[in-house]
Amino acid sequence: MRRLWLLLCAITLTACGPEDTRTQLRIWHQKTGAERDFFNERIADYNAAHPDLNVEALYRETEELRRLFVVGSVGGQGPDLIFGPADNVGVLALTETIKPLDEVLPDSILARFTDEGVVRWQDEPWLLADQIGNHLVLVHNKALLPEPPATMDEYVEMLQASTVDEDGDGRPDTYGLTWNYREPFFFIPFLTGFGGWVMDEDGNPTLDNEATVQAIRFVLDLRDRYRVIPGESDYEVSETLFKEGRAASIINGPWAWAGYGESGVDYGIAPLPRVTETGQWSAPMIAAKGYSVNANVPDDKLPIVRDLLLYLTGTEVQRAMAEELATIPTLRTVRDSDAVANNPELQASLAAAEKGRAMPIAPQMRQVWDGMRGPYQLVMNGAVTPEEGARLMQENVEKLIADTFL
Amino acid sequence: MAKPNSTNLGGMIWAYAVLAVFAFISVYPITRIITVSLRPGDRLLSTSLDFIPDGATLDNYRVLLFETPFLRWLFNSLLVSVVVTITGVALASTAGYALSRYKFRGRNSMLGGLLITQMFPATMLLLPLYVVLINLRLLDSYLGLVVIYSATALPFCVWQMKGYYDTIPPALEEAARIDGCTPWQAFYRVIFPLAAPALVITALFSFMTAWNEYVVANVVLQDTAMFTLPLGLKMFQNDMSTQWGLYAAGALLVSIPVVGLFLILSRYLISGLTLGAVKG
Amino acid sequence: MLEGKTTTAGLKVQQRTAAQSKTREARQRTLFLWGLLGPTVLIVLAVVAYPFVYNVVLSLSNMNIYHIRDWEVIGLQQYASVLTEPAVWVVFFKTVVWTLVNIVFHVGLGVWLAVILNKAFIVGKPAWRVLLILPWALPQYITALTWRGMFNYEYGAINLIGGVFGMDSIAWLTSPFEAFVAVILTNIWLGFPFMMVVALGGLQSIPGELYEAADVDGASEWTKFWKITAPLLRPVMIPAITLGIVWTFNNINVVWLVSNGGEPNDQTHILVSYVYEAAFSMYRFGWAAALSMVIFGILFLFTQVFLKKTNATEAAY
Repeated sequence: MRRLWLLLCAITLTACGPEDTRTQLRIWHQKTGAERDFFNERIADYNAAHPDLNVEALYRETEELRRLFVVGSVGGQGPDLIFGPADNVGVLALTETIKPLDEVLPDSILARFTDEGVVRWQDEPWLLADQIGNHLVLVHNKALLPEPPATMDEYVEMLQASTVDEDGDGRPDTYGLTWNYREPFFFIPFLTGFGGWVMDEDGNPTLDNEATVQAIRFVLDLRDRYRVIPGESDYEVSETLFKEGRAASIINGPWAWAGYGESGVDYGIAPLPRVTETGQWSAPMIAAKGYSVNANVPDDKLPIVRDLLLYLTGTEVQRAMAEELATIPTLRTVRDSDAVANNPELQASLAAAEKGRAMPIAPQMRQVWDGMRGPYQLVMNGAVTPEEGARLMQENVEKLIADTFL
Repeated sequence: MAKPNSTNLGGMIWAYAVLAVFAFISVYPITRIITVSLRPGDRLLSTSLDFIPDGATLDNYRVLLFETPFLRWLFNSLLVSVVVTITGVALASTAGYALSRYKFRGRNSMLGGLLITQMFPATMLLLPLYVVLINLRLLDSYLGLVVIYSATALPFCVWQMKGYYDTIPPALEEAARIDGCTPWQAFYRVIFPLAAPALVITALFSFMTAWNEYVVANVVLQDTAMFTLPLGLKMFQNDMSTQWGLYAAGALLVSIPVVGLFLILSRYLISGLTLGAVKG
Repeated sequence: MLEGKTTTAGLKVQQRTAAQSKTREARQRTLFLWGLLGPTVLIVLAVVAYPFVYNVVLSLSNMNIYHIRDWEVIGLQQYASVLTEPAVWVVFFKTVVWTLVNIVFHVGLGVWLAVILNKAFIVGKPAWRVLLILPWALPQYITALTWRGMFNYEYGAINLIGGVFGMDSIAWLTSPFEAFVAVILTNIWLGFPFMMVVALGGLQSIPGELYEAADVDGASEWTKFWKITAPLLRPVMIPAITLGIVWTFNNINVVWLVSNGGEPNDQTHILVSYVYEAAFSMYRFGWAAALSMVIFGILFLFTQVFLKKTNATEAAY
């Protein structure tokens, strides 16, 4: 038995030390679905063109990516590049786990990107985006809801018409609308539609007000008064309903659209409608997504990392992304090119994004999400009133901010 | 002769009914996994309670086996688990023996200490362990994993082995010593084979620790080619949409080896699992 | 300092002086003992001891999002902050409920099923045993996620089955109380087979004559259980229960996976998941370290008292 053990130890040890003389580069990202496939192909291309390099891409969930990156980088390790949404930047910059980009790239290169494409916090650039996105839009099943609405009132009527209970068991078989109403991120368009917003310039939450209360009440009305959305709905339930053709419309972002086409839904994209009472658009949060450089990348490795970064955010890649994935480019030249102009889905997406409002970069954003989530769920399951919910959100976020930034 | 009149018919029906209900409860969630793995498309959710779903297909299994690195992960997991099992058995059987047979200063605190290691929230060990592994250059290596898993499994295994040795009369090795055996021979030739049922439990427990672990592996392994099965399976869960079919198919295939081991070893489970208490 | 139990062998060596042989023997025994224990002690210390010390230092430090690299030792402030935080006490209370309910059901169901399985008239014992052991055999992270699916309001098997019997759908995962119940149900399911197996092992060592004698006296099943089975199972169950309590108290997997990280409204936390959240979501490393020391203290005190009260030290050590 002892011999067997030694043998296995030998295997274990050799398995972890294959000699590879190539320079290793690591990227952690949170790209999913078609975007991930696209990304992996580009990395493979890059590796093929650079035989002395080995770029390795690893997918991690957004939260987990941030968690492990901070721990790893503080420990003096971690991947060379990370790809994530702009709201990570506050935390990462504060913990000094990423490098300011002006230490990596000259201003002349940064100037090629649109203003939203270079994410700044406290006057320093931290993240170079390959796309502007993450914006929620109204996706409608053309067979069930042919034309998108212009106002909420109009929309509610459409929803009532498209919610059908065929077998009369009191449970609709087709819903007018569905979305993940457990996550506060999906609540933002309603909040902005009623004139609210999450925080002020200084990162203090601004949730305990009439706008929040009205927005909550409206969502509750959709479910309890008009009965046009499911009784309980998280991300998975919504996706299933819409893909099965059992929901006429869904609120979701660019990462999900391709999946609807694959499951055979003939879908259209439109901005979320104006709220009739306020006349304001239901503006989603928009955020850039892109790359940041690990603070631990040594100077001698920096040129290689820079080349890779420029490739991944470069003209060729962004153009192909616009064409194949319909993402909104951040390079000025690509933004103005016919790759954007000739892509109808991208045009629809742009139209929706124009109504959006930029997500704050402040590190407190994380506490806003965490603090809103609980009360929002409590309101939705009827445990507290909308007024109470708005107050709790404010309190929770304030407490979390106080705890974290003590 | 058995005494048929010692239990009445009602009692028998009741006993079988209880067993049947609990057997159903035990098995039911597994049938749900099977159902999802057979569903076409990526639909975990359906209001159907059918065991075999509409349009059942083995496509998920085909994709899993031939289009993902599943087999590679399977090999990795097997390698790590087998090494941990062998380490666990070798160390727990010897340490348990020492703690059962010898009285020495610090023995009680050692037994207590092993129990105490279980009281510390494992999540808080992550950060310091990570720093240590970085400094020892053990990230992305199985050596780090094997050491951590062995240390996780050992406290229970040592207790368990010690408990079993306690049930074996010391007269046996005394006799062996009189016949001229060294202490090691007395242990290795006489007692060790007698402890087979407990060794089986130790092996099973060590194997499961390594086979099912996710949190530590997630921190230690960063290269997808080195992933163990739990990490691989987690890859099918995206941020917002999960490839549930693949996940379920994978979950089922991951479970088969452990369940298989349990089936084969279940008769040892009863006689071998002694947490240091049954005294002859 | 060793006093081996096996002294008989020493008698054989009569040639040498008693003193000489004694030191030699002692030295050999020390060596032998260290050979047996050394590797285990080393490996456990390597993985647990250093992180533990590190954690003690962290718990005295101000390591948080602002001081993640340049943290320094600041004394007992984090402990004060942990102990004066009302939410910690609420979570502590929930953890106690969680542990108690789980253990009661684990042991209750486990022993009950073991007693039934042990009855002479049951046919196909190995098959029943295998079916009942399944929850233990499956990887926890898989079953936890499966149960989460089964608790889904709209599509979950539990509400669907309930619907067949005319019950109203329950919003398992979105209401604080129901979510907590759901988490506990899942863990009860996961944990009873272990106790059942331990109990089965214990039952085998109870001599059948005791029951036959009781039958002669005309004792009921109930009396036999409390007068014979329970007291004789006790020494087998106490160590298992001790371990079970410690494991359940610190079981983050099930709580985290079934409630999706404490939903709704962070109401479904036990202390360990609370520690995880504080450390890795909020980067309050100092605070989280202090809380984990408090958890450790609670469990340490508890096991000392519990083992003493039940006089199990005798059996356990």
